Amino acid sequence: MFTEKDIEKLSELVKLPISEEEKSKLAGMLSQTTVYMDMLNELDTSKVEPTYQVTGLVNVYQSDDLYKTLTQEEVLQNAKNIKEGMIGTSAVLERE
Amino acid sequence: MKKLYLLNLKEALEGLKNKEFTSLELTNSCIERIKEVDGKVKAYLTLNFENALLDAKKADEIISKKGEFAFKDLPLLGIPYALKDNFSTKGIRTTASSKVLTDYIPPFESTVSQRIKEAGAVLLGKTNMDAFAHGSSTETSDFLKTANPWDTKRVPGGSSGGSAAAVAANMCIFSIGSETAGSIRGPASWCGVSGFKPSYGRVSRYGVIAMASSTDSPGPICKSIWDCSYVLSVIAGKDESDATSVTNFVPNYTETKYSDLTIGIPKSYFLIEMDEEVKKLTYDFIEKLKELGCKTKEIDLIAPKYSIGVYTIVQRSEVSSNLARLDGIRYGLTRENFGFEAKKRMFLGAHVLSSGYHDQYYTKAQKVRTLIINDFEKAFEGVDLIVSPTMPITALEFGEGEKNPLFGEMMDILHEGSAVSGLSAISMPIGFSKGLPVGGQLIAPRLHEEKLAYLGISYQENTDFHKKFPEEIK
Repeated sequence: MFTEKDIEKLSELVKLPISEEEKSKLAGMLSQTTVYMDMLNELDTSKVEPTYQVTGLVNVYQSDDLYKTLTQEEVLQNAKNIKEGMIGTSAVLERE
Repeated sequence: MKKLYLLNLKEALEGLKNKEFTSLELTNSCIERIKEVDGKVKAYLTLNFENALLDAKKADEIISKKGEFAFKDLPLLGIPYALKDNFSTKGIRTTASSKVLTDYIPPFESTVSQRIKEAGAVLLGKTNMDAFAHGSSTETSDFLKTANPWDTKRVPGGSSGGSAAAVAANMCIFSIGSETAGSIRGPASWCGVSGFKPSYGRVSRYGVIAMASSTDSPGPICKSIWDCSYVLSVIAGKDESDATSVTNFVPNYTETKYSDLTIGIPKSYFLIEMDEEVKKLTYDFIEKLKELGCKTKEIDLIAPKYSIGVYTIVQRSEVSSNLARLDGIRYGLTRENFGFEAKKRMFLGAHVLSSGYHDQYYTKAQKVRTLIINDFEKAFEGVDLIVSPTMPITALEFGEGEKNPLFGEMMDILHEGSAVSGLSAISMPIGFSKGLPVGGQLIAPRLHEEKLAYLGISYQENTDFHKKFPEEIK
């Protein structure tokens, strides 16, 4: 079950602001969803390894000579705030 | 002669090779068709007509110089097609139907669209989809409500709803979609067209706006399985830019032959709640496969309801990770522009990955995923392919999906097991229920697309459900 407090915490984790209305709607909807998630406990997996990917490929490297890259102009073409050829962001640390 | 936009890919290729018409005429015919009916269907988000006409002219020059030999190196030369809007196209707006990417112009091209471009095809436009591919009706698009061409009060299915609707309404010769679990098969079924979901890793994901990275599989949606198989031969194969793409040999999928195929009928898949008419048509489909020389055998598979839980947990986790990169700094708008569906998925994903719940949900789901994979492997020891309906019901009216928070997952119940296992599958039209198309699916072991291609093509050589299109779009 999800409380509105759980939703507030998740909102912070995923950096998504939500309205009061969305908060109660999400709590209800996510609680309904867990029915199917909890159903998995009906299956015994004590002797089973998890599968995170299905190809079985490991340590795949790209060959150096095929390396693709973008120009600085291309990298910046979609950025909203460009200063001196760099992307501007809001400050993370406060200046003392 | 019939109108050019009505041609399927095989017919269009023949016509171009025999110089019965030009690529420019074919492209113009599709453009006229889009202008005529897309106001009602709303399959296209972004149109690319100006470039398309230039590319068609270029194709005609090559054909007039080299004749039919041109198609040896350029297997899709001069063919107009539609591309789902989650494939990055250099210089052409790519939104994944989300407001967050409303003004995003990719500086690079996806491998799939690059390979299609290098094969000579003509891009007509980008098609509508569920935003970030989150959904099974295309209703979660932030921009348009695509209608089902068979009945415009109904949804086309999703998430590749725009691509499937564009094919069903004859607004392109073929299209490209992508599937995480059901996003090719579902809309193909509800729109009465053919869809081919390749094995995970068979087709490169490079440049596709990611949904769930461990199951995303790009693939064709076309007017026949022959067409799908032909396109698959062009787009499949190892890509240096996608480490998860596999190196296995890519056969010419339209020229495979098999005899004595055994088809498994999974009892548990027929026990879910489904429309009686859909069930009956699926049994008719199985009878037809027997007439074509297939043997059938009942098999046991883990109940599909468990796949819902596995898929929901895995997909939400991967969605919350993949969408974390959308911060509005390097490209796109800020995070408050996400729609409700994307928010819902990221919240649940963050929850199942957070400490205290990781083992209970995430690891548990990946363990059950192993059980499902092993279960399929065991089943495929005794059968070549597995058959079932594609969707439990026919196309729903608008608004039905919003009523259930797991609507997409419930609709895709017959796709999730094969999707989390990375298997390949096709959906093709097998009949009609109350005027709406019904699709049947065949599932193959990983990297055995050629068996699906063979049987799908044989089935369609002996039936004509795939030749039916809505007579009038209203």
